[in-house]
Amino acid sequence: MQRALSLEDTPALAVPLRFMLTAPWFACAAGLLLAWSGPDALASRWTPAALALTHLMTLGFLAMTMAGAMLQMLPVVAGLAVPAVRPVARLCWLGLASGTALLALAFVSGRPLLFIMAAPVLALALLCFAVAVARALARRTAAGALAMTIGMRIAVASLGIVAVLGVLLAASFAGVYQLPVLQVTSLHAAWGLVGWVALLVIAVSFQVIPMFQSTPAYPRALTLALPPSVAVLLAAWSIGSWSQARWAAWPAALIALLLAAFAGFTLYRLALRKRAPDVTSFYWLLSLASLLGCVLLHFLLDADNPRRPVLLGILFIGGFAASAVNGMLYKIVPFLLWYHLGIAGIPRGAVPGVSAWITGRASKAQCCAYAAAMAMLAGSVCAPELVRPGALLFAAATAWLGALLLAAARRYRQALAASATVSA
Amino acid sequence: MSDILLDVRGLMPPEPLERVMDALDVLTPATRIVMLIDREPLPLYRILERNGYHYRAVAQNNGDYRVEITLAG
Repeated sequence: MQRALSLEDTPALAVPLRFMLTAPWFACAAGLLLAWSGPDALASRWTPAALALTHLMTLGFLAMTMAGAMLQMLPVVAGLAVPAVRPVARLCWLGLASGTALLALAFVSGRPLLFIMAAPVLALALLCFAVAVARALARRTAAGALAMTIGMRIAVASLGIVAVLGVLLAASFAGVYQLPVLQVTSLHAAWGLVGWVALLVIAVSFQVIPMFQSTPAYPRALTLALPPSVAVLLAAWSIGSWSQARWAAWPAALIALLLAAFAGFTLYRLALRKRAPDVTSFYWLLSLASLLGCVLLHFLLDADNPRRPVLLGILFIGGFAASAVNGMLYKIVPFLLWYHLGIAGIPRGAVPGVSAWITGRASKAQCCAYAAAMAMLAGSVCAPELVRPGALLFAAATAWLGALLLAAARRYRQALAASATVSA
Repeated sequence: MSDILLDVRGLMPPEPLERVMDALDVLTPATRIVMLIDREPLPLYRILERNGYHYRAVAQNNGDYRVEITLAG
């Protein structure tokens, strides 16, 4: 007996999918922009091209996928329904996509009008998302998902801080008023990369690494204590950094050590398991090794070295965060497509198994291309001639990811259409 | 009542869910699915509750779960 299953907790497929199908193309755009700009783009973190491609990655790729994944995971994993999820998803996606493109153009061209246009669009998208998700997170979490939701609460609060600081900076770039740009940018970057990106990746990994990588569950004390500890230290660092106090280096060092402890512990757990690694395992290895590399460089490189923030940015955004997200996309998208065909009542015999939507050979080759691109880009800090080939390879690898996800989505539509033809 | 034994211990998600969904397709009032799984399948419970199935989950001493699924009513 074939039964069409319904699962009220599951948002419509379009809610998460539109974010996940769009995101790789922003990463591809970041690669193309870097290839076009050449080595001068990475001369410092302040070049227009560096600022533009940083935001193409953090907003266009990371925030885009993370927003889509959270809208999907909160109801399904934690039993927390996001209010008005369809309009929130539509508005957030539209604002993120158009606002990121406008902001990148604003940085590259330096035109004040583009900053004035980008800031409210992005602010509306991010705050709409943050408020809707915060309302869901304020409810009681399903047992077993607490470790994930504690980190998510802090990550979403951090996103709110990042968005407000970002709007202030955009207004300053547009010449509306004067700000201490260096200090505000440091806060904006730290809350964005550590408070939002790292804590969200860590919170989600508490749930998905034991589940998908067959490792034992993380120790409960670690999952409950790590995200709040990082947040408290980040707040202490912010006060010290704002007042330019020398002691600000201490909370920064402790945050680095906590992140290293998380990465080292997870790598140890992954090394102990008996199962053969899949493409997501490889991406986790790349991600965690990059995070350890960031911590090492944080301590080893002189704080005044202009290459330090560039190298840390490449390793943290491309190596740590984007690798983790890329690997998770290979789990999430095929599962969603398979699952929604089941919900649509299509006979399961006619639905390809989850592992058949994107073949292991294609995804592993894409992972190799991505890892090679990251190695070239990290190496380009010392050998600038690697910038252009590394950037082109990065653009190709992320376009490949985008094409694999689109091909899977096309198969979903074809299966739906074939089913409609049969039943007609 | 005959049992459909489903041992999904050691399988990575979402394969256990794939297997149980396939088994639900062939479930009749005269059969029962007995699933053995190495973690508590929380998302599955909500699928079963909302689609007219009855289930009973028992935690085993070794951390595994035994979930018995029948058609409700």
